[in-house]
Amino acid sequence: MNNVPLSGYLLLALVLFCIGLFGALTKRNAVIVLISIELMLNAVNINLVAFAKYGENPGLTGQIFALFTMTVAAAEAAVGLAILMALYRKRKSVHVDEMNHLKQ
Amino acid sequence: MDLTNVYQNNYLVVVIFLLLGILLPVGALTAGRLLRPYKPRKEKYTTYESGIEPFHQSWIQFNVRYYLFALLFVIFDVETVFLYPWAVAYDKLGMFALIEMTVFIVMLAFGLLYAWRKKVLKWI
Amino acid sequence: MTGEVIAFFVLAIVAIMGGMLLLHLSNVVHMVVALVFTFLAIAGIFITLSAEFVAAVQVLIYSGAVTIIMLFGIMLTRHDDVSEKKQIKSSTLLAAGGVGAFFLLMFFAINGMSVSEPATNLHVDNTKRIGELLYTNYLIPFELISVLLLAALIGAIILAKRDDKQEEKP
Repeated sequence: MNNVPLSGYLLLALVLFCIGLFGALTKRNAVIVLISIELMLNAVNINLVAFAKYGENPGLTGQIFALFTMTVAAAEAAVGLAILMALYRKRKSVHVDEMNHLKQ
Repeated sequence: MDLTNVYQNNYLVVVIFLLLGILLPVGALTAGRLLRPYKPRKEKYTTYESGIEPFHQSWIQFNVRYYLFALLFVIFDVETVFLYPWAVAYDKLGMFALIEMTVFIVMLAFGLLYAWRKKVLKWI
Repeated sequence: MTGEVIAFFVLAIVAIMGGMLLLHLSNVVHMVVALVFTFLAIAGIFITLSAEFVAAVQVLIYSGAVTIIMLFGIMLTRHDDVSEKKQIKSSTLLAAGGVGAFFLLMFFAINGMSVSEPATNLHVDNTKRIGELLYTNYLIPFELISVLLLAALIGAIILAKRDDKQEEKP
């Protein structure tokens, strides 16, 4: 084994994505759900950068797209937390179970 | 393959610094644990030796308006990220990239102006 | 075993441990701190993939900005009931089953993948070459990013700002 194969990086990204997905589906705290989504986006970034090096056409395109993904993730975190603040002001709670206005 | 090895060996310095950074406090604290006298008493474990007993958790809820400062920090942090490659490659890019970057900064300056007009920047 | 393989394994273990701690800890602040380790380890992974600039940006945006904003989000809201109910609900089992099925599916897809030779010159003048590509080929996405950031800034201010008038009224 001279250097790490592509599947090693892909497997790491898959494990992190699954952790993020499980956290986003099961956690009750909305802030933790947002953080889990950030972890999922980060796992996708690993894939982008790994394919930029090991893919059929290696180049910098994957790295540039990872930059764009990070920017979108930061904007998403900012807006998501702003929505959470607005909800918290109304309901005094950050639990996703209790955000069921439309059901009632 | 030779170039990659040189590049990776450069980061050996970073690893050594990281290890030093971890080992130094761990070593200092372990040495302190071995050298200091150990005579536990009940009063030593209370937060204050005199005065009111603390209750509740130590963190309190802050006002929501402080969130806006964090928000501005995040947005302009992201802007900085795009300034770096532009500054490094400035010699090769020339005039057109300068115009692009001006458009980019003016767009975000509008956001800052909006925040200013909405009195977000005021520290109360 | 070369140094690259050892570095990859250490970083991967740190990253996965951070993710596992995120799922296991009960205190929200500790969860965020555990995730900082994951983000830093992923920055290290980027360095082994010869993406120096992306690694620096990862430290700047994720371990810096996103963590800070999440800590603000935690401090600004109330988290009295730290102890979540320990009994396993049926929805949790369903989620675990779905995630497990997804993992197995993708695992077999990854295993069947053909391997090609890695690129060796990505790290040479990494930031400079990213700059050259970004401001020539990827000009439109770059300008769209500025529109996105402007929209996110204004939208978040509108959503979060409303408190002042409402607080003074009652």
